[in-house]
Amino acid sequence: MKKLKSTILLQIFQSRWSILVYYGVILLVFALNTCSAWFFEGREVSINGTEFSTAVFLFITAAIFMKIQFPFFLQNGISRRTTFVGSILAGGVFAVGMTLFTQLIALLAHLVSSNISTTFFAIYSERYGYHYNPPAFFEGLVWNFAMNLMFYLIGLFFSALMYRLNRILKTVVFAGLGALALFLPALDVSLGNGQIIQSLGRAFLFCMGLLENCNPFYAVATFLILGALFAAGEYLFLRRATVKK
Amino acid sequence: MQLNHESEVPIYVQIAQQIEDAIFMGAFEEEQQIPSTTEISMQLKINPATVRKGINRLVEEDMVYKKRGLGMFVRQGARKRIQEKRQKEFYQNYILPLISEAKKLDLSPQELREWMERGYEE
Amino acid sequence: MNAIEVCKVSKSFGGTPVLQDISVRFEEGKIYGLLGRNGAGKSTLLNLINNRLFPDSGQILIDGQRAAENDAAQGKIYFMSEKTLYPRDMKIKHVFRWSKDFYGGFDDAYAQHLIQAFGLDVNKKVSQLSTGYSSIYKLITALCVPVPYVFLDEPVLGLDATHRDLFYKLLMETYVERPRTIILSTHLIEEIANLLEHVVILNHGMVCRDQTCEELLQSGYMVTGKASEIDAFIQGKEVLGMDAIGGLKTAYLLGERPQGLEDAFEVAPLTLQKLFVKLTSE
Repeated sequence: MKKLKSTILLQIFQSRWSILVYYGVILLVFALNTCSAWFFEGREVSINGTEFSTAVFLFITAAIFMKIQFPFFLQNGISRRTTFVGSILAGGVFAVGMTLFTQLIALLAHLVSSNISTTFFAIYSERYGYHYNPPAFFEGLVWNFAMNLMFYLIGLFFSALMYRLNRILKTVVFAGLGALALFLPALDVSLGNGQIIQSLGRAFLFCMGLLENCNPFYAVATFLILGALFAAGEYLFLRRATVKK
Repeated sequence: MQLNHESEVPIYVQIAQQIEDAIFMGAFEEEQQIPSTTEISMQLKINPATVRKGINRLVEEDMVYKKRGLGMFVRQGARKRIQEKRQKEFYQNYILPLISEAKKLDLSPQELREWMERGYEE
Repeated sequence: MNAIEVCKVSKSFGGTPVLQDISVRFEEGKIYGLLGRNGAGKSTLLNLINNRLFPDSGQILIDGQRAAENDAAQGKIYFMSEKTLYPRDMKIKHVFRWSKDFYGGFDDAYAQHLIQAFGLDVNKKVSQLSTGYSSIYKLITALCVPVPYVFLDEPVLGLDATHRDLFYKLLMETYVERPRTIILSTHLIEEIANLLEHVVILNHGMVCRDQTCEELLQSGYMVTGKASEIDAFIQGKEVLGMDAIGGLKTAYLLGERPQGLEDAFEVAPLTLQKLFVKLTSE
């Protein structure tokens, strides 16, 4: 138990500077944006990009996990199982912390200028009557937490996958994914009448809770389920990982 | 203290012998403390178990004894006992090898006797 | 008695067997030498015990508990090797701090003593240290964590003569103060020969010798003399190897030494290095 706690604390310790710098930049941008809003009346204060950048930041933080933390844990007598659990829990801590911080900045933005537009609000504003009210804030917290956690877990999966694959397989994976992204739409349009893309689109909207209704909790469920799958994938690659030469 | 790593004599015996030498020469007086296992082990870079074995050999020969909580001390009368022991071993350790070498060189007992007397006079 | 038990462990890499059905025991409180030529399987064995690799068959127990993927068992051992698993950007003082956290303790006072003795700058980062100081901070960690089993793989890599001497002295000091199992794996056999209580020699992935140092050194002897006489003498005896120079030959033999051999030949005891070289040569 104590060792598990230490693995989480260590991951936070390792990321302390990058998180500080990240928020330093965010706050700077926010401050500049706010100032310009005062000078030029009616200008929208937006933290639109911030939620997505937080998710990307979390992905990147997780993506270097295997290379840096895994050998370190091994050196300190920590099993792969504990390393795995520690990686997930640390992801949870990061997701909670950064979601809170980002959303508080959003709240601040709302106080400065009611022309708030967070990504979440932009998607689901219909549900809140186009007003940034308390439910919007709190449900936004849950939605962002789930999304951030999912991105972190994808990062962990990516990290473990890259660690285990040799150069050849890595090329195959990237080439394969690239080919899929390039050729699937083209094939679909010419052969399938665009059905596949359309179905994928409908599935996406459904998962995000935007198909019939406007329910962010569909998305939350989707994020958590996908996150769990990626976490399982991480474990699959982690459990037999060895230290590379 | 110096050790010979190529020697026939096991390390622990060498350690016992050198402490014995020191006692005999008066470097360690009776009822005086001898270096601890740790000190010898560190100085000579030797496993403490080996050092302990050497010291135990001296304990068995009643040259040193253990004072609880303080360390190893030279036993009363140790010097005299060492002298007696070495006198007994003198024939085996010095005389016989001398004679063996003398025989190889075709030296007679008379020549040896003359040299012995000359050596004592000098 | 508490021990690390390696039971019938085998390991292959890409079809090549590196360890074949190895069984060996490292008992509590003793200093072991783990010796072997390059490729004998030493590093693989150490990696298997320390949960870096998985055995193909067999099992490893630490104080009766399964060693693999076991936090409690792995918390009893520390592995110091040339390979640095610490983050490149981490300061040495933080390495110590986290070791304390993960191992549930760290002898800060003794660490200070060692840091000063070696002149280590703990504010430097892992990547900023020379080879010698890279070994030193890992050695300090190895000696200051409260574990009963310490593995030192090529501990004095990069250390100058003064630091090597200092290390061996400090090792003896801390071993007396707090006896624990120390397993030294190195190519510098002559340097550590007197530090060892027990020797395990690996050769071609198998245990070649597993005895106390004393037994091993008394298991044979070497004779030097005129070539023809030596040739005659060795008939019917177990010969480990021979050296020849001019008309002189030296034979390295196992077994009991006949009486009065010194009258006919030059006789000497085997040193650990000579014994090792002859045992493991092709």
